[in-house]
Amino acid sequence: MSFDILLPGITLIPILGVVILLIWQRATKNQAAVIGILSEGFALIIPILLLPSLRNKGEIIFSLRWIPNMSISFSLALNWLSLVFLLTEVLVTLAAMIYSLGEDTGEKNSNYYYALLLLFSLGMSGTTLANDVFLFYVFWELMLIASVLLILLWGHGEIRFKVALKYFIITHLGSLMVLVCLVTLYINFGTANLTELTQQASSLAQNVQVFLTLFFIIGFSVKMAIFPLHIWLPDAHTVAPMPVTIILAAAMLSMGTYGILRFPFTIFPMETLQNFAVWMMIGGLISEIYGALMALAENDIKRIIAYSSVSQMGYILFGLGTLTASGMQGSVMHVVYHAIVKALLFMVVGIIISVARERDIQKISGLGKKFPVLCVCAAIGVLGISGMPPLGIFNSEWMIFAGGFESNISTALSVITLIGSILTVVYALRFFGGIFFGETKPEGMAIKSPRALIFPTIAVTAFLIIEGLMPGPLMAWTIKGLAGIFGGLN
Amino acid sequence: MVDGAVFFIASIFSLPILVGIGLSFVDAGMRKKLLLILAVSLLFSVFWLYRFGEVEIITPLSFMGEEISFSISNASLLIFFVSLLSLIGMILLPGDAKHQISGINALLLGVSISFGFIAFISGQFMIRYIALDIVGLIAALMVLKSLKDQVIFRSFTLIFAILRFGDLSLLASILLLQSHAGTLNITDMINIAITLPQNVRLWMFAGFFLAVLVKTAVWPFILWMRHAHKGSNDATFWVSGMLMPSLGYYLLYRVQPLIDSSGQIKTLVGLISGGLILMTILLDFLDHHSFDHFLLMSAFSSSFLFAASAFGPKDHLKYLIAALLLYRFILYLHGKLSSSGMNKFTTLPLFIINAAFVVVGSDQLPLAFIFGWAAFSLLVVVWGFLRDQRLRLGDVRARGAMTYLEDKSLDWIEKGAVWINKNLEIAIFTNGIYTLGQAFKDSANWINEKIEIGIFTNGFYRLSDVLEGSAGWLSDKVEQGMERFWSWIGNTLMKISEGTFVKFEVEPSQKSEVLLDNALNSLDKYEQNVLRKNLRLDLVWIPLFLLIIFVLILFV
Repeated sequence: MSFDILLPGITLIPILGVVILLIWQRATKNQAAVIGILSEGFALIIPILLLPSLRNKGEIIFSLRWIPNMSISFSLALNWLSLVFLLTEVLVTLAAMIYSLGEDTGEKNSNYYYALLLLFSLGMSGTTLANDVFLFYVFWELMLIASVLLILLWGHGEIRFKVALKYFIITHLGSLMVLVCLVTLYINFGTANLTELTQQASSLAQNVQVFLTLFFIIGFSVKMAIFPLHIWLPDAHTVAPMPVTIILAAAMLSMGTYGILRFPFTIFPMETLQNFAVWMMIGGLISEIYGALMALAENDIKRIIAYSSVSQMGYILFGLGTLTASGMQGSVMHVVYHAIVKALLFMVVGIIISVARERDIQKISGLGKKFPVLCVCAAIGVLGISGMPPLGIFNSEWMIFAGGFESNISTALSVITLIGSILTVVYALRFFGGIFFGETKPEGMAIKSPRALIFPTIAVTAFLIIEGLMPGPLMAWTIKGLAGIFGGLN
Repeated sequence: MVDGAVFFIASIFSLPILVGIGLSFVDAGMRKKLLLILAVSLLFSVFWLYRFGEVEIITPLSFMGEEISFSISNASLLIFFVSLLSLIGMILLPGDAKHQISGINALLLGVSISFGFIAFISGQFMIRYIALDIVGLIAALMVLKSLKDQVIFRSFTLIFAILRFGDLSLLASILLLQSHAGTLNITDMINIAITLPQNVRLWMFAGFFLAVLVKTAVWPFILWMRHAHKGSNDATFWVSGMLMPSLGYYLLYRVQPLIDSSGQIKTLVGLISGGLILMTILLDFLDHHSFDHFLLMSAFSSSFLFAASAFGPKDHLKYLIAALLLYRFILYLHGKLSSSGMNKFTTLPLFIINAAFVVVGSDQLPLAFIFGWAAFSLLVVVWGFLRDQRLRLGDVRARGAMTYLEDKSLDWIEKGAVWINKNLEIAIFTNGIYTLGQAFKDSANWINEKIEIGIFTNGFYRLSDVLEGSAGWLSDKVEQGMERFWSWIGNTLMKISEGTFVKFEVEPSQKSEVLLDNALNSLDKYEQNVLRKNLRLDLVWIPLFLLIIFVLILFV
């Protein structure tokens, strides 16, 4: 029995959830959460049901005519690469929705809150599945609009208006660069279908290919928050409510990586990409070190973890820049592992803020004795982000570094990137030691950590350990996913 | 045969972890006894494994696409055996109640033995690296006694960061080598490494050697072991003091063919070893605290090993490593049981070990090495004599380094030592690391303040303020100016329209109305004048007469 027909359900079920939530105006937070979690849960089950079919076919495609005169269709494609990103995104959203139950965000207008979370997730799943450039852009913008609204309506403080505007303007500039590329491709080939574009794009003039690759990389790097295009990230992560921050950091950043892999890396030949290899590596290295330095300098615990994303995205860009199988596989795996670790660390930060009512690392200390479970979860998260084996990031990091050495572009760059990772250890340990060691402060904090928050945190911690110990499936999927794109890759 | 070896490998790996878990639940006295039993049984297991000879076991497991294999060699088992022997000794050392092994420490000790063993026998470099990383983490974790003390945590951070630095340099070399060899199998990698171009070999070796220097805690990486010792008791210090250096020695043993393959590398190792030996001898002149002495003499012995690995016969290297590890243990014991510092008892065994190595390998050793060794030995003897003399005069440390420099009665050697201690050891390395850390933190803060906040965060807002100001100016000057302009145009047009309208529409209409009225009035007047007169019928004849004329014209 084939479940292929269920593919559009990944996008339609969340839409159904949104419709129900918009109609059900008097839904309480719990009721709205149930609708949200169920919709997201179904969206998670479908790709799992499609796995056997994916093994047989390699790619499942669903296509429906949309605007025939313009050759635009509602075309979705699930392949091994999109599966990795899709599962990451849906799992993170699901975890964030469950975590939301223990948070005081979305107490009012809960139906709109969960509807927007669903739309945010829909934007991301649609982006990963879209096989039509027009559809891709629609989902891409939906992701932005939903997240901006979430920050505007449920963000912290009056500054949220400014921050949301800043986030919108900067990321939208990136989106416009992507749009320029998509329109250029559409005008040149008269089709919006990504499969057809993949087959034809290499026939474009070399200078056009270079121009489009440049625009694609910069446009998607904005979403990845690569230095110096990261300026939207620290504020957006800090002001957004914690569940939204979790989705922003753990899932949305990865969409930039997916964009780079799906567009310039898929449609243009290696010769074109090689023009950018060393620049991507340098950009990645600067971002890695700069993000780590900022995390070290910051005192706001939410911003420390936010800057760590800038640093971690640097590794990913570096891996992509190597243009080697190891480097790119490492980057894709890093997306997944980073998502898990980042979700965990933000969950920990959320709990710390909720019990200590404080965000300044210099005003919080000694939580280890009071909250031992939280301390263990944080320790595993910190070791995870430091690349300690056998936790997952170790696997992805060494593949990225291996890619750097294999690329023969610059051994020195690879060595600096590798040694630079010691900075991650330093800021991660400063974060952990500062909060969990020493005399307990501030005075009068909560006695227990909220159960509704600690359970999802424990679950993500367990998932991080399992993923690290059993990287087999993820490795196999990424190998298949990248082989599908880079047939002739070294 | 292999099945038996697999059984022993599985036992040696799993037993310490399982026992470690069990030890968490028993009292301190029992814990010590059980640890002792564990160490002795492991010792026997290693001995039995040794009897299987050199075996290569390929497991059905794989890691990141590479098969996991174990390579049982006499060298690895011998070194691990000596490490375990020292563990027994360290467990047996008497300690007060404050220094008893806690449950968590026993567990960590068990895990470190298991992964230490894996690091010794792994045939795949990445598994070995992972095992080393885990042992490094445990070495750092051993100092964490209380969650209340942030100073202890700083020690943990320092140990972990330094060991990680060593591990990362090791990883860099592994990856560089893997990119050329295409495999992670240690033996294959080393065989390929020696065929690579000179510069690649040099970089590769630099990474490996840096990792060895860190793990063996030679100067200037001595710092991490000092912190590890501060926070540990005898048994837990075994991980940092014995297991970690033995893993470093074994790493050196494995990559020794790289040294052999290149004259440049040999020279480099020779120079580093010589420099380290000189430095440690000088520093030991001042440091007579038993643990400092242990550290420096251990570093001294390690430096000799480095030189021996470059110039000595490889066949004897494993025995030298085993002997130096035993010496290290004896040195620690001596430091624990006596506070007399450096004396014949601590220098003589080292001299005998080194002499034995030189004599046994004399046929293969270059003359330069033998002379160098003899010169250094002589230096140690002279040094020991001078040091003893100095100690008799009084405590150097008690008098303070600066006073010492000004004291003209002291000879130049002491001044030199004090100078090095003050300017290199304390100023550069001990304080230097903290100063560097602080400078690093300051520069990070500066970048954060100036670039991140100043340019990116505030910059954006400043930019938006500038934009807002410009927009205001534009609105005020241009937009409103334009509006005024358009208003003027509009008003002018309106005026023109109005003028035109009045001139051409209203006024003519009014005039026409007046004209019409006048016309109507005059007509009215005319009519009234005409109507006022009587009707004259005689005038009817005129048209009639005209009609007759018209008819006549037509017909005539």
